[in-house]
Amino acid sequence: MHSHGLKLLGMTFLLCLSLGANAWGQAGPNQVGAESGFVPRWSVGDSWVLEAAYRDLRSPGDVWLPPIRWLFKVRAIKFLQRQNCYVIQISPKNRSLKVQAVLYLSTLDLRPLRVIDIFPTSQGVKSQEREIDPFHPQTLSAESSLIPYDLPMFPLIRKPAQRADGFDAYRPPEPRMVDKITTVGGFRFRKSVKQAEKKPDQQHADVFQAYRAQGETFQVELSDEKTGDSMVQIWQESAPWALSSDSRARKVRLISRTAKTPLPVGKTKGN
Amino acid sequence: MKNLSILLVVCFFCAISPAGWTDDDSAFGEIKPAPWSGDWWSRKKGFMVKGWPGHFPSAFQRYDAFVQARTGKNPGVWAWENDVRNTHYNPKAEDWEGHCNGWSAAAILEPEPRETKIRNGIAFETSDQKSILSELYMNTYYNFYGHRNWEKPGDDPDDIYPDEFHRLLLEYLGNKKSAMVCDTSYDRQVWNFPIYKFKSSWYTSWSDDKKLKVRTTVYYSDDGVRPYFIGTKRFSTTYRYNLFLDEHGNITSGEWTGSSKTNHPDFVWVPTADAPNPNGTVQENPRLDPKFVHEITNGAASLDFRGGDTPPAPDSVVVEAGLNPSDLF
Repeated sequence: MHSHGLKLLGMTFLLCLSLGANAWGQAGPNQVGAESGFVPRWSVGDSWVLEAAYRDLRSPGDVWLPPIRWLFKVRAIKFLQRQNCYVIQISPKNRSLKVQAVLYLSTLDLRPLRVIDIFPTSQGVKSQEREIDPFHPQTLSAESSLIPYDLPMFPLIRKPAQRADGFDAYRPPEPRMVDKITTVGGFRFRKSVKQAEKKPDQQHADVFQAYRAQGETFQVELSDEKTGDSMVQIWQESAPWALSSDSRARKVRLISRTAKTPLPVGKTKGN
Repeated sequence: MKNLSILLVVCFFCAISPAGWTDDDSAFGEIKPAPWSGDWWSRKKGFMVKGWPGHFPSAFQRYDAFVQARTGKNPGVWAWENDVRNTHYNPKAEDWEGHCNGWSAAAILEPEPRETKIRNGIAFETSDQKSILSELYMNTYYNFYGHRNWEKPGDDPDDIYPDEFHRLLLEYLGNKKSAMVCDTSYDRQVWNFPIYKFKSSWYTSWSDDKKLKVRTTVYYSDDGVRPYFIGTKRFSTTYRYNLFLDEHGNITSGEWTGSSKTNHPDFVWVPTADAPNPNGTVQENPRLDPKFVHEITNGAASLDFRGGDTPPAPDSVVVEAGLNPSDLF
């Protein structure tokens, strides 16, 4: 009995080990997700520009500061935390600001693995690296940066194919709840973020119609359960980044596309 | 007899720990050098355009003279500021109206002017430089935390919440990233001051092990100084609050306690860079050119300035931040 118990324990351990390895291997759930959902794909040298307008939240009324254009450039693909990462440098395009960011994003699902913010101070330019937990997939928030590099969790869920009887109308996927843990100064702060995806609504039609090329369009809402603050992003399969990103503090638009059209997701199978 | 023993124990704890506070742990953060103190440039007094006793011509008259010497054209900064329709100088303004947000941002983003600068033969004393910088930073790009309380229906007087405030202190001051500006008045009024230092201590509540009782003293740079003041005059405020933990020890929420319920920050903002005027607004003097301002405030004590600046190459900024591009990319 005792020996049987040990065997059972051993098999359970091996099973767990196998599942764990699978979860972080290339054929893990990210790959499965990539088949059923959308993850932007980039190549080294791709670049695009976002234009961000900033609301002056200190002032009365609806006052927006002049926009800044940010150049996103894929500088390299590097191996970090046992996976390939896009290395993206973001710098201002139309203003002489000493503000930049360098993002290391998993090529599998764009989860952040390393985030470096560069910013000016009275004593010169400084950089700071965030503490990122690579084993805890979460959204990327730019709340401590001027640069609008917010990202939802990927893959985004594709709409199911309509059935022959025509009854399978679009039903949005269940919202994903993400416990966003920020570690700072030895404290861990937990924020519950809800990621809800739905069919783009009419008020965002102008955005995606302007860029409509090919592929599916996704509307993602990231909301802070406690404060009620939210951000709505519109993603499209043929675009390298969100076409638009709106919150109470920022309005961001993708203004040019120089990146190559992403590969059809199905063709990435077996990477 | 038993009651007497309890009383003695309580007295012992009070004796070794003032106010009965025995800390589990503490945190500290400080930005050095501290943001400099400067006048808040009252709109009613109009020192920027009129100067003050013993100080003529005013800072903006000197600026115009310098730019005219550089370019052959008067930029009209003084004229714009002196026009009461633009509300920057207004003898009928409220006593509290001024340029405190411009001073706060300049004190964080610019080194303190500590010596007179002679530019094309025109003297800019430290007070002139602080005045011009305070105007330049009236508009800034910034990161904003909390919600401003306008005392309208739906405005939350408890916001900014202490868990967010505590996180910001650790992130910006604890990590030596930047000083941050705080509206110290939780109600409709706005009093901007830079925070550059904090000391925080806490203990676990005796009645609830998921509650940390926190006491945090925050140090602010003050603007209640004369225009020619050099250095940092400071004041401090102690806030008390509770932080609530989940079963994993993560902080999930917080509440202000004691007198901090009605004496806590309203919102926090961290200036990142100078910004131009939004269209149709008069928040900042649009005639002021950052390029000429920095020709005045940067560099050697005496210069006949020529030439402009060019935007830095992206990788040169990375190097300036102490990073190696070949390691990153």
